[in-house]
Amino acid sequence: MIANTGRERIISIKKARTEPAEDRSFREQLRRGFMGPMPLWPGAVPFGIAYALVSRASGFSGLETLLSSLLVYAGSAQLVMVTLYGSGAGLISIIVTAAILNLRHILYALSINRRMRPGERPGKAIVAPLLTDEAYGLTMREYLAGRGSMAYLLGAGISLYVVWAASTMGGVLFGSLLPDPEKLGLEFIFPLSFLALLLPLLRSRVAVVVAIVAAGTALAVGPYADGGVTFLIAAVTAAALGAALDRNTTQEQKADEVDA
Amino acid sequence: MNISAERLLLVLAVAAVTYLTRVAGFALGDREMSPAFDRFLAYVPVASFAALAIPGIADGAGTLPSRVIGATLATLVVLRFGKLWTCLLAGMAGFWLVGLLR
Repeated sequence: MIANTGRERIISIKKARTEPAEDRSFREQLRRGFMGPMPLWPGAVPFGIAYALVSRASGFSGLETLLSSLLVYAGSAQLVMVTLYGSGAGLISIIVTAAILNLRHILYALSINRRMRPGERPGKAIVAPLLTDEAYGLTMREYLAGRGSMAYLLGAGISLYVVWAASTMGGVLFGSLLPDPEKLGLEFIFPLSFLALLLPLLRSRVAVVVAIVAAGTALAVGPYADGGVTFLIAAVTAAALGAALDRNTTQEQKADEVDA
Repeated sequence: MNISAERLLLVLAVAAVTYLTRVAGFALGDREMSPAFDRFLAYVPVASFAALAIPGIADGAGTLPSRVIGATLATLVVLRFGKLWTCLLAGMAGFWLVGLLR
Protein backbone atom coordinates (compact mmCIF):
# COMPACT_ATOMS: atom_id res chain seq x y z
CA MET A 1 0.00 0.00 0.00
CA ILE A 2 2.68 2.46 1.13
CA ALA A 3 4.85 1.60 -1.85
CA ASN A 4 1.93 2.14 -4.16
CA THR A 5 1.12 5.59 -2.79
CA GLY A 6 4.75 6.55 -3.12
CA ARG A 7 4.85 5.49 -6.72
CA GLU A 8 1.68 7.39 -7.49
CA ARG A 9 3.14 10.51 -5.96
CA ILE A 10 6.27 10.21 -8.08
CA ILE A 11 4.14 9.76 -11.19
CA SER A 12 2.04 12.82 -10.36
CA ILE A 13 5.16 14.94 -9.76
CA LYS A 14 6.57 13.80 -13.10
CA LYS A 15 3.29 14.69 -14.79
CA ALA A 16 3.19 18.17 -13.30
CA ARG A 17 6.75 18.81 -14.42
CA THR A 18 6.20 17.75 -18.00
CA GLU A 19 2.97 19.66 -18.58
CA PRO A 20 4.43 22.78 -20.27
CA ALA A 21 6.62 20.58 -22.46
CA GLU A 22 3.54 18.58 -23.39
CA ASP A 23 1.88 21.77 -24.58
CA ARG A 24 4.74 22.54 -26.91
CA SER A 25 4.86 18.98 -28.08
CA PHE A 26 1.10 19.09 -28.77
CA ARG A 27 1.61 21.79 -31.40
CA GLU A 28 4.67 20.00 -32.74
CA GLN A 29 2.76 16.70 -33.00
CA LEU A 30 -0.16 18.48 -34.66
CA ARG A 31 2.21 20.00 -37.20
CA ARG A 32 3.94 16.67 -37.87
CA GLY A 33 0.55 15.03 -38.22
CA PHE A 34 -0.50 17.62 -40.79
CA MET A 35 2.71 17.07 -42.80
CA GLY A 36 2.55 13.27 -42.56
CA PRO A 37 -0.09 12.68 -45.27
CA MET A 38 1.38 15.23 -47.74
CA PRO A 39 2.89 12.48 -49.93
CA LEU A 40 -0.67 11.12 -50.23
CA TRP A 41 -2.23 14.40 -51.39
CA PRO A 42 -1.57 13.72 -55.10
CA GLY A 43 -3.59 10.51 -54.71
CA ALA A 44 -6.41 12.13 -52.73
CA VAL A 45 -7.03 14.98 -55.19
CA PRO A 46 -8.03 12.83 -58.21
CA PHE A 47 -10.17 10.69 -55.89
CA GLY A 48 -12.04 13.77 -54.63
CA ILE A 49 -12.55 15.04 -58.17
CA ALA A 50 -13.73 11.63 -59.36
CA TYR A 51 -16.15 11.46 -56.42
CA ALA A 52 -17.62 14.85 -57.34
CA LEU A 53 -18.16 13.72 -60.93
CA VAL A 54 -19.88 10.47 -59.91
CA SER A 55 -21.99 12.32 -57.36
CA ARG A 56 -23.17 14.91 -59.89
CA ALA A 57 -23.91 12.17 -62.42
CA SER A 58 -25.99 10.35 -59.76
CA GLY A 59 -28.32 13.31 -59.34
CA PHE A 60 -26.72 15.12 -56.40
CA SER A 61 -26.44 18.89 -56.72
CA GLY A 62 -23.07 20.61 -56.35
CA LEU A 63 -23.95 21.80 -52.86
CA GLU A 64 -25.13 18.34 -51.77
CA THR A 65 -21.92 16.83 -53.14
CA LEU A 66 -19.77 19.26 -51.19
CA LEU A 67 -21.88 18.83 -48.03
CA SER A 68 -21.43 15.06 -48.17
CA SER A 69 -17.64 15.42 -48.29
CA LEU A 70 -17.72 17.91 -45.41
CA LEU A 71 -20.12 15.91 -43.21
CA VAL A 72 -19.47 12.25 -44.07
CA TYR A 73 -15.75 12.39 -44.93
CA ALA A 74 -15.45 8.74 -45.96
CA GLY A 75 -14.58 8.27 -49.61
CA SER A 76 -15.77 4.71 -50.11
CA ALA A 77 -19.02 5.19 -48.14
CA GLN A 78 -19.76 8.40 -50.10
CA LEU A 79 -19.12 6.71 -53.44
CA VAL A 80 -21.42 3.84 -52.53
CA MET A 81 -24.05 6.28 -51.26
CA VAL A 82 -24.28 8.31 -54.46
CA THR A 83 -23.94 5.29 -56.76
CA LEU A 84 -26.75 3.39 -55.01
CA TYR A 85 -28.92 6.52 -54.90
CA GLY A 86 -28.34 7.04 -58.61
CA SER A 87 -29.42 3.47 -59.31
CA GLY A 88 -32.70 4.04 -57.43
CA ALA A 89 -31.97 2.12 -54.20
CA GLY A 90 -34.04 2.83 -51.08
CA LEU A 91 -32.66 5.20 -48.43
CA ILE A 92 -32.61 2.57 -45.67
CA SER A 93 -30.65 0.07 -47.75
CA ILE A 94 -28.13 2.80 -48.66
CA ILE A 95 -27.67 3.80 -45.01
CA VAL A 96 -27.23 0.16 -43.91
CA THR A 97 -24.70 -0.49 -46.68
CA ALA A 98 -22.73 2.61 -45.70
CA ALA A 99 -22.74 1.50 -42.05
CA ILE A 100 -21.41 -1.96 -42.98
CA LEU A 101 -18.71 -0.40 -45.17
CA ASN A 102 -17.67 1.72 -42.22
CA LEU A 103 -17.47 -1.07 -39.65
CA ARG A 104 -13.72 -1.28 -40.20
CA HIS A 105 -13.41 2.04 -38.33
CA ILE A 106 -14.34 0.19 -35.13
CA LEU A 107 -11.26 -1.97 -35.62
CA TYR A 108 -9.07 1.07 -36.26
CA ALA A 109 -10.33 2.94 -33.18
CA LEU A 110 -9.88 -0.11 -30.94
CA SER A 111 -6.38 -0.54 -32.30
CA ILE A 112 -5.45 3.11 -31.66
CA ASN A 113 -7.23 3.15 -28.30
CA ARG A 114 -4.94 0.32 -27.20
CA ARG A 115 -1.90 2.52 -27.82
CA MET A 116 -3.05 5.91 -26.59
CA ARG A 117 -2.02 7.11 -23.17
CA PRO A 118 -4.75 7.82 -20.63
CA GLY A 119 -5.97 11.39 -20.68
CA GLU A 120 -4.30 12.19 -24.00
CA ARG A 121 -5.58 15.30 -25.73
CA PRO A 122 -7.51 15.89 -27.95
CA GLY A 123 -10.36 13.67 -26.81
CA LYS A 124 -11.67 10.70 -28.71
CA ALA A 125 -14.91 12.41 -29.75
CA ILE A 126 -12.89 15.11 -31.53
CA VAL A 127 -10.51 12.86 -33.47
CA ALA A 128 -13.14 10.18 -34.21
CA PRO A 129 -14.70 11.92 -37.25
CA LEU A 130 -11.22 12.23 -38.80
CA LEU A 131 -10.39 8.51 -38.56
CA THR A 132 -9.81 7.30 -42.13
CA ASP A 133 -7.75 4.41 -43.54
CA GLU A 134 -4.85 6.73 -44.27
CA ALA A 135 -4.97 8.68 -40.99
CA TYR A 136 -5.11 5.38 -39.10
CA GLY A 137 -2.17 3.94 -41.04
CA LEU A 138 0.10 6.94 -40.56
CA THR A 139 -0.82 7.40 -36.89
CA MET A 140 -0.31 3.71 -36.15
CA ARG A 141 3.12 3.87 -37.77
CA GLU A 142 3.95 6.68 -35.33
CA TYR A 143 2.63 4.73 -32.33
CA LEU A 144 4.60 1.62 -33.35
CA ALA A 145 7.73 3.78 -33.57
CA GLY A 146 7.04 5.00 -30.03
CA ARG A 147 6.12 8.57 -30.95
CA GLY A 148 2.43 8.37 -31.82
CA SER A 149 -0.19 10.67 -30.31
CA MET A 150 -3.76 11.79 -30.66
CA ALA A 151 -2.42 15.21 -31.70
CA TYR A 152 -0.68 13.51 -34.63
CA LEU A 153 -3.96 11.81 -35.56
CA LEU A 154 -5.77 15.15 -35.36
CA GLY A 155 -3.16 16.80 -37.62
CA ALA A 156 -3.20 13.97 -40.16
CA GLY A 157 -7.00 13.93 -40.12
CA ILE A 158 -7.25 17.69 -40.72
CA SER A 159 -4.66 17.49 -43.50
CA LEU A 160 -6.59 14.80 -45.39
CA TYR A 161 -9.96 16.44 -44.64
CA VAL A 162 -8.90 19.76 -46.18
CA VAL A 163 -7.61 18.03 -49.33
CA TRP A 164 -10.75 15.89 -49.60
CA ALA A 165 -13.07 18.89 -49.23
CA ALA A 166 -11.03 21.09 -51.59
CA SER A 167 -10.75 18.44 -54.29
CA THR A 168 -14.49 17.70 -54.07
CA MET A 169 -15.08 21.45 -54.48
CA GLY A 170 -12.68 21.49 -57.43
CA GLY A 171 -14.51 18.57 -59.02
CA VAL A 172 -17.88 20.28 -58.54
CA LEU A 173 -16.70 23.55 -60.07
CA PHE A 174 -14.35 22.41 -62.82
CA GLY A 175 -15.01 18.67 -63.11
CA SER A 176 -15.92 18.62 -66.77
CA LEU A 177 -12.87 20.72 -67.74
CA LEU A 178 -10.30 18.48 -66.02
CA PRO A 179 -8.55 15.53 -67.70
CA ASP A 180 -9.78 12.11 -66.63
CA PRO A 181 -8.04 11.57 -63.27
CA GLU A 182 -8.04 7.81 -63.73
CA LYS A 183 -5.77 8.05 -66.77
CA LEU A 184 -2.86 9.23 -64.61
CA GLY A 185 -3.22 6.20 -62.33
CA LEU A 186 -2.65 8.35 -59.24
CA GLU A 187 -5.02 6.16 -57.23
CA PHE A 188 -2.12 3.68 -57.18
CA ILE A 189 -0.59 5.90 -54.46
CA PHE A 190 -2.98 4.39 -51.88
CA PRO A 191 -2.01 0.70 -52.15
CA LEU A 192 1.64 1.81 -52.40
CA SER A 193 1.37 3.80 -49.18
CA PHE A 194 -0.11 0.85 -47.29
CA LEU A 195 2.65 -1.36 -48.71
CA ALA A 196 5.17 1.13 -47.31
CA LEU A 197 3.43 0.96 -43.92
CA LEU A 198 3.24 -2.86 -44.03
CA LEU A 199 6.83 -3.82 -44.92
CA PRO A 200 8.58 -2.53 -41.77
CA LEU A 201 6.14 -4.54 -39.63
CA LEU A 202 7.09 -7.89 -41.18
CA ARG A 203 9.72 -8.71 -38.57
CA SER A 204 8.37 -11.93 -37.10
CA ARG A 205 7.21 -15.15 -38.68
CA VAL A 206 3.73 -14.65 -37.24
CA ALA A 207 3.51 -11.14 -38.71
CA VAL A 208 4.47 -12.47 -42.16
CA VAL A 209 1.85 -15.23 -41.92
CA VAL A 210 -0.78 -12.68 -40.82
CA ALA A 211 0.05 -10.42 -43.79
CA ILE A 212 -0.08 -13.29 -46.29
CA VAL A 213 -3.39 -14.56 -44.92
CA ALA A 214 -4.89 -11.04 -44.92
CA ALA A 215 -3.81 -10.42 -48.51
CA GLY A 216 -4.90 -13.87 -49.68
CA THR A 217 -8.29 -13.62 -48.01
CA ALA A 218 -8.88 -10.14 -49.43
CA LEU A 219 -8.03 -11.38 -52.93
CA ALA A 220 -10.22 -14.47 -52.56
CA VAL A 221 -13.26 -12.68 -51.10
CA GLY A 222 -12.88 -9.52 -53.21
CA PRO A 223 -14.87 -10.67 -56.25
CA TYR A 224 -17.86 -11.66 -54.10
CA ALA A 225 -18.26 -8.76 -51.65
CA ASP A 226 -18.07 -5.00 -51.23
CA GLY A 227 -14.67 -3.47 -50.55
CA GLY A 228 -15.42 -2.68 -46.91
CA VAL A 229 -16.85 -6.12 -46.20
CA THR A 230 -13.92 -7.81 -47.94
CA PHE A 231 -11.50 -5.79 -45.87
CA LEU A 232 -13.31 -6.61 -42.64
CA ILE A 233 -13.34 -10.37 -43.32
CA ALA A 234 -9.67 -10.38 -44.34
CA ALA A 235 -8.38 -8.22 -41.48
CA VAL A 236 -10.39 -9.96 -38.74
CA THR A 237 -9.49 -13.47 -39.98
CA ALA A 238 -5.78 -12.67 -40.25
CA ALA A 239 -5.51 -10.80 -36.93
CA ALA A 240 -7.39 -13.62 -35.15
CA LEU A 241 -4.97 -16.14 -36.67
CA GLY A 242 -2.10 -13.96 -35.47
CA ALA A 243 -3.52 -13.93 -31.95
CA ALA A 244 -3.86 -17.74 -31.99
CA LEU A 245 -0.35 -18.35 -33.35
CA ASP A 246 1.12 -15.81 -30.99
CA ARG A 247 -0.02 -17.80 -27.95
CA ASN A 248 2.58 -20.39 -28.88
CA THR A 249 5.52 -17.99 -29.07
CA THR A 250 7.24 -16.98 -25.86
CA GLN A 251 5.85 -14.11 -23.84
CA GLU A 252 8.91 -11.83 -24.08
CA GLN A 253 9.26 -12.25 -27.82
CA LYS A 254 5.64 -11.41 -28.42
CA ALA A 255 5.37 -7.70 -27.63
CA ASP A 256 8.74 -6.80 -29.14
CA GLU A 257 8.07 -8.57 -32.39
CA VAL A 258 4.77 -6.88 -33.01
CA ASP A 259 5.89 -3.45 -31.89
CA ALA A 260 9.24 -3.44 -33.68
CA MET B 1 -27.28 24.83 -56.59
CA ASN B 2 -30.24 23.24 -54.91
CA ILE B 3 -30.86 20.88 -52.03
CA SER B 4 -33.53 18.20 -51.93
CA ALA B 5 -34.91 17.21 -48.54
CA GLU B 6 -34.51 13.52 -49.39
CA ARG B 7 -30.86 13.75 -50.40
CA LEU B 8 -30.03 16.02 -47.46
CA LEU B 9 -31.61 13.48 -45.12
CA LEU B 10 -29.57 10.73 -46.76
CA VAL B 11 -26.30 12.65 -46.39
CA LEU B 12 -27.05 13.45 -42.73
CA ALA B 13 -27.95 9.81 -41.97
CA VAL B 14 -24.81 8.44 -43.66
CA ALA B 15 -22.73 11.06 -41.81
CA ALA B 16 -24.32 9.94 -38.53
CA VAL B 17 -23.69 6.19 -39.03
CA THR B 18 -20.14 6.93 -40.20
CA TYR B 19 -19.45 8.97 -37.08
CA LEU B 20 -20.98 6.25 -34.88
CA THR B 21 -18.71 3.54 -36.33
CA ARG B 22 -15.70 5.80 -35.82
CA VAL B 23 -16.47 6.72 -32.22
CA ALA B 24 -17.71 3.24 -31.20
CA GLY B 25 -14.26 1.65 -31.20
CA PHE B 26 -12.88 4.40 -28.98
CA ALA B 27 -15.81 4.01 -26.59
CA LEU B 28 -15.52 0.20 -26.48
CA GLY B 29 -11.76 0.35 -26.09
CA ASP B 30 -11.91 1.56 -22.50
CA ARG B 31 -13.22 -1.75 -21.25
CA GLU B 32 -10.93 -4.32 -19.73
CA MET B 33 -9.75 -6.63 -22.50
CA SER B 34 -8.90 -10.31 -22.42
CA PRO B 35 -5.27 -11.16 -23.29
CA ALA B 36 -6.49 -12.96 -26.40
CA PHE B 37 -8.35 -9.87 -27.67
CA ASP B 38 -5.31 -7.75 -26.87
CA ARG B 39 -3.16 -10.07 -29.00
CA PHE B 40 -5.80 -9.83 -31.74
CA LEU B 41 -5.59 -6.01 -31.69
CA ALA B 42 -1.80 -6.18 -31.80
CA TYR B 43 -2.06 -7.80 -35.24
CA VAL B 44 -4.72 -5.43 -36.60
CA PRO B 45 -2.13 -3.03 -38.13
CA VAL B 46 -0.28 -5.78 -40.06
CA ALA B 47 -3.54 -7.40 -41.16
CA SER B 48 -5.14 -4.07 -42.17
CA PHE B 49 -2.17 -2.78 -44.14
CA ALA B 50 -1.83 -6.08 -46.04
CA ALA B 51 -5.57 -6.21 -46.79
CA LEU B 52 -5.47 -2.63 -48.12
CA ALA B 53 -2.18 -2.88 -50.04
CA ILE B 54 -2.12 -6.21 -51.86
CA PRO B 55 -5.60 -6.16 -53.53
CA GLY B 56 -4.90 -2.58 -54.66
CA ILE B 57 -1.71 -3.77 -56.34
CA ALA B 58 -3.08 -7.02 -57.78
CA ASP B 59 -6.36 -5.55 -59.00
CA GLY B 60 -6.60 -2.97 -61.78
CA ALA B 61 -7.57 -4.19 -65.18
CA GLY B 62 -4.83 -4.00 -67.80
CA THR B 63 -2.21 -2.32 -65.63
CA LEU B 64 -0.99 -5.33 -63.65
CA PRO B 65 2.62 -5.26 -65.00
CA SER B 66 2.88 -1.53 -64.18
CA ARG B 67 1.54 -2.13 -60.71
CA VAL B 68 3.82 -5.08 -59.95
CA ILE B 69 6.95 -3.25 -61.17
CA GLY B 70 5.92 -0.09 -59.29
CA ALA B 71 5.29 -2.05 -56.10
CA THR B 72 8.62 -3.87 -56.43
CA LEU B 73 10.51 -0.59 -56.82
CA ALA B 74 8.58 0.88 -53.90
CA THR B 75 9.51 -2.14 -51.77
CA LEU B 76 13.22 -1.81 -52.54
CA VAL B 77 13.15 1.92 -51.79
CA VAL B 78 11.19 1.66 -48.54
CA LEU B 79 13.46 -1.11 -47.23
CA ARG B 80 16.53 0.95 -48.13
CA PHE B 81 15.41 4.49 -47.17
CA GLY B 82 12.28 4.05 -45.08
CA LYS B 83 10.75 7.38 -46.10
CA LEU B 84 7.16 7.34 -47.29
CA TRP B 85 7.50 9.93 -50.05
CA THR B 86 10.58 8.34 -51.65
CA CYS B 87 8.75 5.03 -51.71
CA LEU B 88 5.65 6.58 -53.34
CA LEU B 89 7.80 8.43 -55.87
CA ALA B 90 9.69 5.27 -56.84
CA GLY B 91 6.47 3.28 -57.07
CA MET B 92 4.73 5.83 -59.26
CA ALA B 93 7.85 6.25 -61.43
CA GLY B 94 7.94 2.49 -62.03
CA PHE B 95 4.20 2.45 -62.70
CA TRP B 96 4.36 5.27 -65.28
CA LEU B 97 7.54 4.00 -66.94
CA VAL B 98 6.07 0.56 -67.62
CA GLY B 99 2.89 2.27 -68.85
CA LEU B 100 4.94 4.32 -71.36
CA LEU B 101 6.98 1.36 -72.56
CA ARG B 102 4.06 -0.94 -73.17
